[in-house]
Amino acid sequence: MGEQSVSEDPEEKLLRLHDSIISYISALRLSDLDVLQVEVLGRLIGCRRTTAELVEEIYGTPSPSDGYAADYYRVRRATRSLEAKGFISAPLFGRRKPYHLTRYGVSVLANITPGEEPERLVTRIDILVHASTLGLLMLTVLYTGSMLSWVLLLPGLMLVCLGVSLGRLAGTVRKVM
Amino acid sequence: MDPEDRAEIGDMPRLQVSMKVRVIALSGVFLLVVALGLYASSPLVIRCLEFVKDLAWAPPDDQFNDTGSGGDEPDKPAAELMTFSILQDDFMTQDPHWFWRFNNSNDLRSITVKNGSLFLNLTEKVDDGSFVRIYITDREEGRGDRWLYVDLEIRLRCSDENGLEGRGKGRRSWGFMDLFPSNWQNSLVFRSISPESDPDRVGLQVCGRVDGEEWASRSISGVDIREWHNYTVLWRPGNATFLIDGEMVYSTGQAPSTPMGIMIYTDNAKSVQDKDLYTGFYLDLEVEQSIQIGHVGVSLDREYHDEYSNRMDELFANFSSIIEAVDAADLNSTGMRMDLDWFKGEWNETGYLHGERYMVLLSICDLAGELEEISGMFEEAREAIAYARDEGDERKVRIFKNYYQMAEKAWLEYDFTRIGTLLGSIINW
Repeated sequence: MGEQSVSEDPEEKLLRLHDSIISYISALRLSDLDVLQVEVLGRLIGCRRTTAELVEEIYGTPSPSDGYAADYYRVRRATRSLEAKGFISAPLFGRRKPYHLTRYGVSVLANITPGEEPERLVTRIDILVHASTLGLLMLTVLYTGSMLSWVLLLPGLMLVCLGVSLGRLAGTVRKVM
Repeated sequence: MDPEDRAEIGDMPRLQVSMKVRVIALSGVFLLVVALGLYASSPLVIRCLEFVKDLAWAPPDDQFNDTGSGGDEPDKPAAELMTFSILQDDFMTQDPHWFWRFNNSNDLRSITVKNGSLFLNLTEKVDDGSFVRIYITDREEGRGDRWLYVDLEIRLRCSDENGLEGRGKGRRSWGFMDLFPSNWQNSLVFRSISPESDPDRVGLQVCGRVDGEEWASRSISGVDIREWHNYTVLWRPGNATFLIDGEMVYSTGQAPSTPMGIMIYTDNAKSVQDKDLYTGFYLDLEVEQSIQIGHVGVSLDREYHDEYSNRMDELFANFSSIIEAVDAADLNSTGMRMDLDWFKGEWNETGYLHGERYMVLLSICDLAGELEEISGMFEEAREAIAYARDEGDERKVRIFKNYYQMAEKAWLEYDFTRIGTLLGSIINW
């Protein structure tokens, strides 16, 4: 170790440090992410990058060179996987599709230290609110023909629940946009 | 790409949908379910929103002409000591006793209850010859009519829009009817007919139908139906009396003898008898027309109620004899006893028995008479056989034994299922 620290130049030292950070992150809750995915996440902190830019930054491979295609597919697979997990996102429309970290991704990364509860995309409260809305909606449909006076409470409660539900639904969508 | 690289990279996953797309798709499904639910429950949701709107802001009710003697608040009739009240509804709430119908559906947007009144609002503008009708009734399909020989009092007034002198367009009617809204066979009603509907029978009338045949309707003059009035029908076995504000306007010796339900309706139908007048069966409506109902009450005259009670006691006593006869035949009468208790419970609770059930009870008691007859045959035969044996007349003994066998045959062939069927139909109510 000592021998290594004497002989290595600062750039190598930085690389080793980078690797150790990556392994540290991987050891934490993101154990289902591979090293390349964590690298991609790191590169996207605070900025937007297209797949080509990520390939160039991570591998230093210029686009016309040999091996570029292999590196490109590796990165692309990593970005797709991250996208499927909701950590990163790219615009739905437009030719240029730079990736960026989603709110959910940022939140998960911010809570990776031990002891912190990981962020959930759909919380228990969300499930409770949506289930209540659907339950009340079902009761409202069932009691539509009824003349009982208390039945008027059902649509009122259902509309209130629906409002809360839509708000939380919009919040969930915003988290992964 | 090098084969080594390819091996290292592996294949690109075929279907890896981004979380964003999945969340949006699930949100879309959720919204679709909610939209379908809201559509299915729209009448109730609209009622709820109107209720909230009424709480926050009660708009002036300008569809009625308040310049008449009726005043703003409907005068509720005082409870009279001379009557036995069975049903009183002042429409402070939507009582589940009633079935509310708009064009035979349960679309309740045009029926509202507020400030102690029920409003039947025919709000649809009609200019294409289509039919619109709105009504409330307490007769329930499949369960028969509730009322038989009772007094009905309805307090209401009609809007003066869309026609002459509050007649609206088409027909308005309130009273007793059976089989409504299909072709009724029996009725005792007040009816208002517009000039466009039938020039020969325009105005307010009392009319009735017995077993499908309408007796001549009687026109009532000097009554402005735009003002509050109490309309009363006194229905008794074999006669009916119509009153407006306590004054008799018509009495007849023709009255239905089968149960009927209460019904109040307004529609845009022509009510014509002459086929030449059938040029467009339904009338166009330019503006809405309505009926405002302040009170509906059903009661029995005290004296008649005492008579009715005696008859009920008699019926229950006869009913018990059926059970005894069934027990004697070693048949299971447990269900019948339960039905009898259930009958008595309803009778004790309300002081009145549902009209159709009453009719079935009568039928059962007719069967009781048949059973009693058979039972009498047994007794007579036994006595005659004993007498003939005492006399030692074997010929007479043989004759009376034959008579006994006839009684036994009648008993064995007696159709107890008729009783069961009748009781089954009652318990379904």
